[in-house]
Amino acid sequence: MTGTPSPRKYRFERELAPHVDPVWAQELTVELRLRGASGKSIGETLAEVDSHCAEAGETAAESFGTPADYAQQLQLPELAQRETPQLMTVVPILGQIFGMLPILWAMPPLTQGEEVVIRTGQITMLGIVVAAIVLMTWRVLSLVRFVVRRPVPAVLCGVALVALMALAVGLLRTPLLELAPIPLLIFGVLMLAITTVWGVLRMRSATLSEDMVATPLENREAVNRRAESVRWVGYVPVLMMPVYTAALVLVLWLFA
Amino acid sequence: MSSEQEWPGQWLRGVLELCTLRILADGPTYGYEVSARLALGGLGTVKGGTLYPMLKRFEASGRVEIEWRPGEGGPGRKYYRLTEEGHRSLQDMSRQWQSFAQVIEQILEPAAHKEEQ
Repeated sequence: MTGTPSPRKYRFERELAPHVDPVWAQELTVELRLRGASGKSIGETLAEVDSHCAEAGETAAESFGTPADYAQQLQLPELAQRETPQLMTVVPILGQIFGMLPILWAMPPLTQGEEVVIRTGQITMLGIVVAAIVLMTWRVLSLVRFVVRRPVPAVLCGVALVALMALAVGLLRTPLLELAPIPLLIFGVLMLAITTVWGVLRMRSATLSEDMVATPLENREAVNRRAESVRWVGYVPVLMMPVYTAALVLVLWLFA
Repeated sequence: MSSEQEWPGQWLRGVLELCTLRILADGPTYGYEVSARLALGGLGTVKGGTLYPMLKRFEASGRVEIEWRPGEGGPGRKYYRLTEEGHRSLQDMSRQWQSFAQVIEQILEPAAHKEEQ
């Protein structure tokens, strides 16, 4: 541990396991999450480590070794993945992409008073995006594990994916269809607006405390309070696409 | 027997389950108490990183039931209670261990063994 851990960054760890070094507790939480453990199992594990450290007067590192080793030795059961919520996660994201791309395709021809020409490269790019999102959502835990444990290859894979899409757009130039820019723009804006509102409504109704890390003797109010304090995190992926689209539209508008 | 005595790790791995089940047979208790009693019994310090994953395996195999109780002025404690399955496992392992210990003793004392024959 280097220096004093920031009180805000580790506020949950201090609340859940006050007798454990918060950096160690956070690393254990991440390791167990990456292994697919439920919030309940993680809470129980933290509470037991806390109880042992308080009674033994030892640090967690002395008694339990590194968080990664301890997480591996525990072999907690993986949280069962449910099909429906995963599908309900991927549909709004795909909807937002099907809204964003027509807007971006319609912008340059609109400013130049031309028709929108959809080429094979754009359809190929759309296919790659859809396949990548479905694959990432389907294997989300493996993906997060890969990104956290092997960040350099993960970034290289991301760059390769973007390069593949750019190549598809650059090389596959056969025109497939011509569209008027205004109806395409209206379609895109409506699609993006509807799917964003849908995503926001889903987040508002979601029971965030369902898989929050909670210790066995903790009261429900404390868990709900923690869940509410991080609710905004859930809105980030939903609102990212419209913000990103608006920024790109602005750039296209300015440089038209 | 001194509680400071350090036993080879591979010996401890072989008997730790049996000794822990035996301690749990005396009544429900929690992890730190188990480790303290193992040390007091002369087995030495058993680290939390070894003890708790083993207790977790007991839980998963139905040999113990757990109950969380508020601690006395400290954090809560997870109590482990031996189930019927746990008692059966303890009996089987105890019998096996006694036979095994007898075999080892016979090997280590070849002269006495020959005299018996």
